[in-house]
Amino acid sequence: MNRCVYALLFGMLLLGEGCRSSGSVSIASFFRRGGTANWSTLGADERRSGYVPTELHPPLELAWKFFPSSSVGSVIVVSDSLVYFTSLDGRVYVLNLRTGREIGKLKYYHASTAGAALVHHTMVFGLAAGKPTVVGYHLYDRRYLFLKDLGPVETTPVVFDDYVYLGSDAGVAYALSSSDGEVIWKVETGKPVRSSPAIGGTSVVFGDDNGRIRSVNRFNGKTNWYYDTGQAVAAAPALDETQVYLGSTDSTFYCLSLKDGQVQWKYRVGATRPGNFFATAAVDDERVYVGATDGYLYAFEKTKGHLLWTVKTDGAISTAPAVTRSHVFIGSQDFHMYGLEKKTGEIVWKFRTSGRIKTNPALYGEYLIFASEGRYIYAFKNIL
Amino acid sequence: MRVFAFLLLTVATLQAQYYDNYFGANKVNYTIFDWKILETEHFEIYYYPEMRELAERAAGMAEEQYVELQNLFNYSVKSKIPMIIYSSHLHFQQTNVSPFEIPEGVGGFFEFFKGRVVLPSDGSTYHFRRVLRHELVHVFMTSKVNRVLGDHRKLSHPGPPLWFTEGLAEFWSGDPDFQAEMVMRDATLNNTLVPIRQFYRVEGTYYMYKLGENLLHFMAETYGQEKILLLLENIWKSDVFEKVVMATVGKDYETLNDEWVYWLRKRYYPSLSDRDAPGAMANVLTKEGFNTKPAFYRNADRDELYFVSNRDGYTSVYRQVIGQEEVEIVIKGERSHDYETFHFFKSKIDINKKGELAFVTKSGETDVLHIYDVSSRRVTHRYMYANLVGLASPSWSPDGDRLVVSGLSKSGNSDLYLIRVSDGAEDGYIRKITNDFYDDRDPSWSPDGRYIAFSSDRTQNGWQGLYNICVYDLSTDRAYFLTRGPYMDATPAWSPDGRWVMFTSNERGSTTDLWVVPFSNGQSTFVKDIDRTGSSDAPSSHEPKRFLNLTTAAFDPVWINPDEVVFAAFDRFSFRIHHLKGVSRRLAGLDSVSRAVTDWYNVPWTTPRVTITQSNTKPYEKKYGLDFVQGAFQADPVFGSGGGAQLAVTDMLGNDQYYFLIYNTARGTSDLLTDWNFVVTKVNLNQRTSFAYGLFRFKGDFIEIGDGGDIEILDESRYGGFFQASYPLTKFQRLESSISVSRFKREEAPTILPVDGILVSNFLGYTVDNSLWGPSGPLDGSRASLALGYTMDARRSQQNYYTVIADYRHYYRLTLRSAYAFRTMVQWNDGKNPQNFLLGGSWDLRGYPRWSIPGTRFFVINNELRFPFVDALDIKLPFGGFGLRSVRGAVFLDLGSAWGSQITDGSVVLGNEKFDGVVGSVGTGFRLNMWNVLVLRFDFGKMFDLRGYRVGRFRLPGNRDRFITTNFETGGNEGFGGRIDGTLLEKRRWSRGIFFQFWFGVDY
Repeated sequence: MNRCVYALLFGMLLLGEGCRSSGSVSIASFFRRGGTANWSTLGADERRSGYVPTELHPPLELAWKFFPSSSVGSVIVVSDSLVYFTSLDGRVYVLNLRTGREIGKLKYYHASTAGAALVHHTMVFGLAAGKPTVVGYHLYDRRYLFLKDLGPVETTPVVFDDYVYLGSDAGVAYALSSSDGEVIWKVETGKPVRSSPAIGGTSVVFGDDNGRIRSVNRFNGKTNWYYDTGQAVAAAPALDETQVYLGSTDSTFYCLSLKDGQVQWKYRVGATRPGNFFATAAVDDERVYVGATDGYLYAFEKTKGHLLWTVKTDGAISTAPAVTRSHVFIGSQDFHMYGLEKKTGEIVWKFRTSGRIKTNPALYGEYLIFASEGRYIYAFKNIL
Repeated sequence: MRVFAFLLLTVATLQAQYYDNYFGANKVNYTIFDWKILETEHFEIYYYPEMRELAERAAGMAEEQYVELQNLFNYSVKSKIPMIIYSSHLHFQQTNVSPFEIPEGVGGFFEFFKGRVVLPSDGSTYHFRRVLRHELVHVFMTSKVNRVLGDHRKLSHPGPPLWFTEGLAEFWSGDPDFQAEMVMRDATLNNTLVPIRQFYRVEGTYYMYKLGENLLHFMAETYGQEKILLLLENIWKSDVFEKVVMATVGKDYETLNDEWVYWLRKRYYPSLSDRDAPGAMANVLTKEGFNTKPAFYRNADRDELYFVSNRDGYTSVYRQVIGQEEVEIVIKGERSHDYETFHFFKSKIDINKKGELAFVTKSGETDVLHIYDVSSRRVTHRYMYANLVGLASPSWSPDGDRLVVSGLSKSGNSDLYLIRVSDGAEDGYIRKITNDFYDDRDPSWSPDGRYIAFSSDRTQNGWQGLYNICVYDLSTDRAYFLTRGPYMDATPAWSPDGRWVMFTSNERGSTTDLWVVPFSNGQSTFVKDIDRTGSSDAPSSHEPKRFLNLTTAAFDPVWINPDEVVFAAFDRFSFRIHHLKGVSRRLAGLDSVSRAVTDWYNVPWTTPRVTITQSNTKPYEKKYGLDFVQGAFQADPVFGSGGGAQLAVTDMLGNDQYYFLIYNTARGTSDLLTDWNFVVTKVNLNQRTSFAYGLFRFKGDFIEIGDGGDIEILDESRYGGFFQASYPLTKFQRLESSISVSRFKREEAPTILPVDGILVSNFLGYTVDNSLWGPSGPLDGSRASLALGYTMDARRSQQNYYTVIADYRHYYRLTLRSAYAFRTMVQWNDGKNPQNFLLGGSWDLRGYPRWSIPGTRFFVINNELRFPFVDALDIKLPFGGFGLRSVRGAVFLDLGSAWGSQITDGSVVLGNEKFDGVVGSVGTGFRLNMWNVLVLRFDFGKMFDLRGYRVGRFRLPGNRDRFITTNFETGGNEGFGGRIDGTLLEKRRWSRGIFFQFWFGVDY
């Protein structure tokens, strides 16, 4: 039955309205609203916490693999049992979470390196080159909400309260209307914004290539504070109610006050081997987790910054951890996805993929979804 | 590789065609290495037991670099990186990983197909580590760029330009060294910077490396360090690198270049306020070429300067009387086995009071120390030591009976050695006076004979490539530091009275200047014992003083007398020797300069090290892998077009090689299944005698001359096997032999050649080649080859003939870039039904269509004047532009004749049964070097016929009515899809003999 529906949907693929896109996709027939927390953008939610209150019990079993047309962008989104991701040859895919089968795809002429954000059937993503560079697409109605040219966009947008927040390589951070893409405000940073913004209370927090971590009012764009790390900030911030957690390419991981940007604590890597932070952190109720180019995953007590444990992998870590109630999942460029007991850091499961893991993983219910070089998307789930 | 070239020769000869691909210098495998493999987390290190310690340090440093580069690139290389190390450059030059000759200037290389890193030690651990880092940057960069392009499905992307890849490898290898500073400062101050858009003009040169490094330095400093990594990560955004730069930093090349030049000027122009150009401070003695390593000799009433120079392209030792401009070659280098290469920038030369010049050259397997008597003009002593692969910088004792040299052992360590020079039994006795992994170089014997000053990295800053001057006291066998601090102190030279030591020195980020340090023949002078015991820091009065403050860099000071020195200096991208007077007055007026001092009481530096154990090391096992694959497409005016593929499978060291060549010569679909050709060759390069054997099957067209003078294209199949061996006598000479057996069958044709048979061919050859090449062909030296062969039909005895091939070429240098080239070549087949040679074409007898004159014997005499025509020509068009580089001109005169043809049809004579005089051509042309891969040759001229020509009472042999020429009306020129039609051999009037020819190929 499902195959018939898929075939029908493929038959319905139409030329999109964007001048440089083709195909369309509708999720109307597949939409199943459930009680499971969505992983709707990089880091799961608007805070980019990387944490969902679900439970996976490694070892996990492979549910399915999918082979897209090219390597996957940096973000996988799962919402209402559908998996969304961008491929680096300029496509946006939608898969059925349960089966791993493709439901549809959009084709663009340029890549979305960062990936999409998804809220209320609206998918927003940026393109790293060409024109337009910001796309808002309504998945239910199969129509473009907006197509904007804001210069190359290599951040993952966050959609919150009818606003879309993103940064561009042109050195501007934007707030757009999620309905029509109208620019609500913009903040010029002078250097590219490659650090995807996160929302905490009334603040939007992001970094830039000037090395600044900046907090602006999410309604009017006025700067609340900024902190200068001295080197480019490429990772996205992870927030909890009061603090900002973010690593910089100055080899330091920072915890700043969300309120005023004061340093609460910081941790510098590189004493024994050089390391840097390109990866986004994850934060739960007690700890913050972050990987570095030295191949280590670090776990800190989040209020005082005490280093709780480290785990060494055999490759650089450039993706964010995905955290459940009891485990942390982290992908490494050593080709492995690791499952760790989050209190101790003990490796309880690992899976060798076909290549380096440079795409941030996603969690949804009992599923762990991640990608590796070699054009594979993997979905793992609990064995029992 | 020589063997493979000979294979081509033999196959070509079998086809009755013959090209000059049998020349070339040899890569001689002097040494048989007992290879081991040390496995670490990320590397497979190939080493031999003599350099166990070096292998352990290399492993430690490689792992250290891996972690740093993983961080810089935000990228992990997951497969183990094969790293093949050699303990000396002389061993490195024997590597078979690359088929090409490895010049002295190559410090290491990264091979792309198997990802192999190949590098030698030169005794300096810092230098080894820097080269290692450079090559590992290539490993990471190549892997990451391929990954990014693969991720984005940009498989046809050309990749980043060479200036970027090499510039980044330099930039991420550490702080710019003094040479980078020297080159960039010189280029900025002399306004010789190359704009970014014209980097192709210096493609592949050392200058390009430094330009790329400096530009990336500027971009990182101006736009942020992260931009360098982003240039790699954005590579997919455009096939045009300028657009990638634009996407990354927002500037096009024009704007970026303006900013960069301004940045350089702001940096270097202020140095003019307190620095002087070397030419403003001292007399310039040498102006042409690169001139370094001066030595002074008072010969009766003449002040003679000896130095090493490459002014004519070869590196040689020259003599110049100070005050005169004329120079004279004393030792001709790079043309003979005895003087294969001078270590141009590494090894000083020295001459004693008796007029004995000591210098080092590579000669065969090791370096050789030569003693040359300048009066009698002959070499009196030669020293070589089996365990000392490298020798450098000999310095005479004052009495002239001992030398001190820097020696590089098979372990890869550089230490100092004393050598006795005499005519007695003790001649050549050698004693090691330092013994550790620190680099000891540039020894200089004091005038009183008690001390030896030398440069060593055994300082606390040695791991950063910094050296200080040390002094070895021969009376106590103890050594001391004479200078200290974070400097690169080198090439010490004693003043004649022994009161001063002059040396070159530079701080990090600066260039080398001349400095002096006083010496008062006492231990109180010394900073510290070399083992860090004994006396404490020296009094400040013994601190070094800056002697010159130059805009560029100074090297190799030598005292002529207490008031004069000579030194080499870099200026306007050239190394020149300068003569400075008034030294004593300058010394008296020198102010003390406070030099940085570091903590002397730390333990000596060392390197990370991976201990070799039984579990992490194993003997070398051959693992074969694909080395290269290439498509082959042939477009030939005679044979038409065809396609195929060639691939090579080799072991990791490149000693065992399998070549597979397969192609199809079908002219229509009906032949597609039958006209397959293949050659399978096994080549063994593991020892000095290299050999190859294999099988082949050729099916397709065989060219022969048929009745009526037409070129007959006959269908032929041939299969068989061959064996070849090559023994290089020296780098320049070799013996070769081959045997091949082939069964052939060809279609019936109106020729006298048999239609089937089994041919057995034997060849024995001798080749010598010491030519020096310009952009399109040789400019100096000579080449010769003599090959003898015998071919027989073992089945029906229809063909039994011998072959003699003699080829001699000499290149007379007229100026630096022009030469007169002469070639005479004879090829002779004689016996029963010998094969025809086919004369004519761009390579032998110009003007005459290729292979248009048949004969079983022929000779040619070629004369050509080669000269520069256009060095650089940029043509701008509204829709773009293009540039031409290294266009060379030629004026030629060719003479030749072929006879002994087996064609007897008399209606239209093709070739001659007997010698019938000489034809020739005269003309001019140009050659265009295309990306150092191809040379496009264009010739324009006029053919002439000397047969029966009368000169006074003399009449040259031959019959003018039998003139052979080409069909001009039908455009029967060669190449570019042109054709040779069936009316090639019409009689033509003298005035019609004008021709033009295009072809691809280097000059003879």
